[in-house]
Amino acid sequence: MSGAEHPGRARRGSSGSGRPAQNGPAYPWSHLLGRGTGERPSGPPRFADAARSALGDSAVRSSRSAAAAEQRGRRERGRGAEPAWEGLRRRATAVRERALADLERHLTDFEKAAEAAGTRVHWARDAAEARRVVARLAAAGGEREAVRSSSATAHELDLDAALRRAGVDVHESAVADLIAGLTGQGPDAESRTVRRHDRASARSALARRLPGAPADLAARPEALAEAARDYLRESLLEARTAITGANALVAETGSVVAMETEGNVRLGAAVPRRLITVAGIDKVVPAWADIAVLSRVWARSSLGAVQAPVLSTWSGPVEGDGPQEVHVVLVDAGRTAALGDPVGRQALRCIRCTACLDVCPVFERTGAAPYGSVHAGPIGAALTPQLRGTRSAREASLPFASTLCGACADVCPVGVDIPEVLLELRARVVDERRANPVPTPEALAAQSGEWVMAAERRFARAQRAASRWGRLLARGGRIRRLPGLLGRWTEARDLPAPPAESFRAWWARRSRVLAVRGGGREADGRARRGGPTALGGTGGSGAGEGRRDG
Amino acid sequence: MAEKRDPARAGVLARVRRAVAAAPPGAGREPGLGGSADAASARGRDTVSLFTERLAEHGIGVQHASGAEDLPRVIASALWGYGVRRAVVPRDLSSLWLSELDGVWAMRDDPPQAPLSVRAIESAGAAVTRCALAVADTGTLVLDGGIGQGRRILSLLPACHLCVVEADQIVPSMAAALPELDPARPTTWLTGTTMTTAIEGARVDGVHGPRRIDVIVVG
Ligand code: SF4
Repeated sequence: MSGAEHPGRARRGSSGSGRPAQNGPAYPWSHLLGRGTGERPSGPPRFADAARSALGDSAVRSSRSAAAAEQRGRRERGRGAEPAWEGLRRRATAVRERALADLERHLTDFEKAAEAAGTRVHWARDAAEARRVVARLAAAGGEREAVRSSSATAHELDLDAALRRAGVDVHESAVADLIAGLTGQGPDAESRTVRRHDRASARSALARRLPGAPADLAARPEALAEAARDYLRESLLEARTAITGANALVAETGSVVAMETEGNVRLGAAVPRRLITVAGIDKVVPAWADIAVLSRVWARSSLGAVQAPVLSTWSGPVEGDGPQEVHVVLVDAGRTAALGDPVGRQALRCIRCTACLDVCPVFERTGAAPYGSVHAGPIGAALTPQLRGTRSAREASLPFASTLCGACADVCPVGVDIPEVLLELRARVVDERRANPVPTPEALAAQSGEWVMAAERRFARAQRAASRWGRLLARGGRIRRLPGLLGRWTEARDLPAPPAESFRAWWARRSRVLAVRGGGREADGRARRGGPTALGGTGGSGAGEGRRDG
Repeated sequence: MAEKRDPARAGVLARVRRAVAAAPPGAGREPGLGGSADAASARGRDTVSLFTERLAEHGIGVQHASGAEDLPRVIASALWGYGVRRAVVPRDLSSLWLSELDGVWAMRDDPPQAPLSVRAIESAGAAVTRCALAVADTGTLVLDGGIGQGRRILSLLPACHLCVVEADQIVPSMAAALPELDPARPTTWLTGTTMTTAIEGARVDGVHGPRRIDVIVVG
């Protein structure tokens, strides 16, 4: 602790650049009150800042809760129908662990088998390289258009923008994505994650922006889905290049595995001449037989169903059937950083079932946007800081966007202990910030706490001050917002107002009173008023009983 | 193999090697595999009745044909029930199966020599195919482009798909089905019809792929 304190102080003293040097005994917390509010790091907003506007929209929040409750119900029923869920879950976890434990061999095996089947395998170290590779492949031979099925990896890498720059128009082939695109929603939008729209906005997007949509389109889900489907089918049938994601890559056979409900991957892998699959290197599984357990837990956790409506596999071009040019792009983009972390690597087991999102109390209130990535919810908070690093304020704030209630870990079909990963990342963020030239409020608060508590007199004075100020700030016994930078702490929680008199103050007064007179009547009077006399009386024994009951 | 000298490939693999060395997987922490629960639960039951039960749960119609001699009649009546004029069939579907069609024109798709156009397939009302395998405990049809199945779009574009399953093609579980398939072929596993929940979570059936799938179990 003290090692971190000294350089911090030295820097504060010597930093004469922005503000005048402070004279006299600087209270360590004086930075926290008022001062310094202006020096917010630039860049994408922190989770809590981004969440504030989402929290304000109560209509969206309640429709999101309803959707999450529906999903939870579906999944509960699905797992109820699964006689040996825990065994299945253990086997799925083992498959993912085995894949990661020997990832290099599985990747090279995949490459060998896929190339033997006629697939071209490409590699990309980071998102920029992936964008270049995909844009080059899609634009080859002067192609101007491609259809892309829904893929978290494609959004993560921001492929569409790169394709457009390369002169390739991208058409999305999933209904939810088509509507999101028509309404101009970006990759971080709620609808990309929860994959649903309300009928009014879906209708206005389709009726106004979809070429060839009837003007009198009815706002019924069937009619809207049909209008979207007709358009999507045309674009899929006309397309000469399809871009897909993958649910798994099989090392043993070089196969791509894709699971879906709408059938647009099935169509995209059957009609266009060129097929490009973009997948993270974490998607590999060792054996062909592993698909059985993986697809089962995915379907149960994602849809509640026993299997996805469509599961497709391919390992290369087939004469007279579908694409004649098949590519797979293997992307690292931060995955090896996660792989090198003994605790964090388990996040790479994730099979994107979204089960943890639907049980998360934080996600239910904030939605996807504040996570600032297509990977939202608990797994987003655990994965994004590992993929992108924690230098920016947004990524550094994500591990704190959790109550650590553990519901995500209970529901995860591949045993990702998300709270464990988040705690590890919190520790990492704090360590990094300790070496940071501008101390964070948390670091300063901890330092001030140390300074205050180190001397008894300072502590007593601080308590009296806190009690006075606290009661001024409180409304109805709760403090909703602390002043200055301390306000960040109360953004996500209320603070109970401190009692009028601290235990120390009361103890000191009681000892004085007891010393002067026998003290009996005084103590009785306090007990009737509910004051802090619990030490030897009923309150104390009550607490004792409480413990025994527990 | 220029690919092998690709700096991106070398870079990714080197990072993977370093990462795994930095955080070696916990030995002995691997969860026990146990038996194949799904296969066990399906065994000891009549796979045909389990399969038809599951199909019904997915909203797929099931008809039975007692044998090869009965099949043409069942196919003809199913197509008649769809009210379609044209049905597409793969090149190598037995013509005996189609011998009793009445008022339905069966169009053969024979790529690469004589393929039907995508539009012709799309505008046909139905497709008739075999399957490679069927999975009882999930109610899944598996197509792999083998005999009587045709290329992938054949059973994808028409509004109705009539699929013939021979009783001995039904295996208890997906775990039992995988080793029987050739991974070099493209496989398609159909469990119920496709659907979307993109609008208010309401289920709408048949996005891409038939709105209606019917199965004829033979034997
Ligand atoms: S981390 Fe979340 S999305 Fe990933 S597999 Fe687990 S529950 Fe599913």
